[in-house]
Amino acid sequence: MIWTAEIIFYGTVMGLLMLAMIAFFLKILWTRYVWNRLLLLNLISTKILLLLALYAIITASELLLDIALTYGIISFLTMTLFSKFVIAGGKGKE
Amino acid sequence: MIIIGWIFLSIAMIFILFGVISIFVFKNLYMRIIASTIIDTVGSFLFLIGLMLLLWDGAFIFRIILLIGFIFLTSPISTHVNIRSAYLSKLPLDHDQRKSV
Repeated sequence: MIWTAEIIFYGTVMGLLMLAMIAFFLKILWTRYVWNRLLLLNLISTKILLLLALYAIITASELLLDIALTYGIISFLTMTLFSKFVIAGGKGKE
Repeated sequence: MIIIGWIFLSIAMIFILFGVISIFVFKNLYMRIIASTIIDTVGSFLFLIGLMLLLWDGAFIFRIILLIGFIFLTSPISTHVNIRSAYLSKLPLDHDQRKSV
């Protein structure tokens, strides 16, 4: 395997994104309120979206960008539905 | 073109690093909105612009512009919905997470 500058740069960026996701996951485990956890979940989903876009550009496949767009839609739905569920008192009625 | 894309990616990673640090520094839910704002708007915007400069092709440019528009529309809305849920559930505005509320 030849260590070119591109491999080192993209590997560094992907590694930093993974480290940030691991830090957010540990913060989810050690925090108190449910809204903190929802905020961190939103940040983790944004980072997964960026990682998908970077991998799609590296391998030059348009399919992964479509998957990233779908992932963004699903994360938005998750946030809004969880927040409405918490406002309703956790019972699920509007 | 590739060098400009790398510069954009580096600036985006610096902004994302500041967001990660600010999550661990602030001890209040209402202060932590700044981390979400930095990462979701500035970091994602610069990152995707850099990716668009790296591979200059029509299909990729269209999809990445769609992605940027979608992130700019939905991520402030989802943050606002989350904080509105916290405020309507009567979480105090100046609470300190280290003490027992």
